[in-house]
Amino acid sequence: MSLDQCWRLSQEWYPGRLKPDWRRMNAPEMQAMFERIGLTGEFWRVG
Amino acid sequence: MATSVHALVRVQIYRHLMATGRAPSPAEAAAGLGRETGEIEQAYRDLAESRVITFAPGTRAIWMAHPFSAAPTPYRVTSEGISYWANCAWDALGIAAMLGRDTECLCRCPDCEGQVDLSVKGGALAQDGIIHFVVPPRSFWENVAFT
Repeated sequence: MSLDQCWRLSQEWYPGRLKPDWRRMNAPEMQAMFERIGLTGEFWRVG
Repeated sequence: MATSVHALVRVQIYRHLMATGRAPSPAEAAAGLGRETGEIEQAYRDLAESRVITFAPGTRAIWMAHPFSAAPTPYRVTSEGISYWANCAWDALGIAAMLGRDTECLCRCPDCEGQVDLSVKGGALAQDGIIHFVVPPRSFWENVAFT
């Protein structure tokens, strides 16, 4: 992936861990996030 | 609804890492939260069981609380005079995302050995480039150290 995609992924993936009500994304949420960032294809399929 | 001790401990671990660059011991986290150390030790075990943190092999000391590493790695991030270790190139940007401020990170590409600038200034990357992921997301935790 491009560094820009990785930066966007980092911004979606990590900061929520500082919130008390954080929970790990489920598979559909993770898949939707990857698709928002343009990460598609078999490698990025989580389900 | 009351915040669970696990959530409090998770947030405390990250706040300590962000403030110091070091992972807190259970005693340090307990002191920060005004709790008993034994209760925090149990919370650490539970957080490790649920893969929120990873212990160093054979210990109950935090090795990884993604994106942070408690052990030195090739990915050293600095910000406001504090040094952090990231687990990988992605995590170097993850630390920038968690800190929410400018960071510097110069590292070597593991493929071509050229210098890569993973710094973030004003919310923007210092350079463009490509990151190669070897392990697909569905397999991240099969061997998290390799990932």
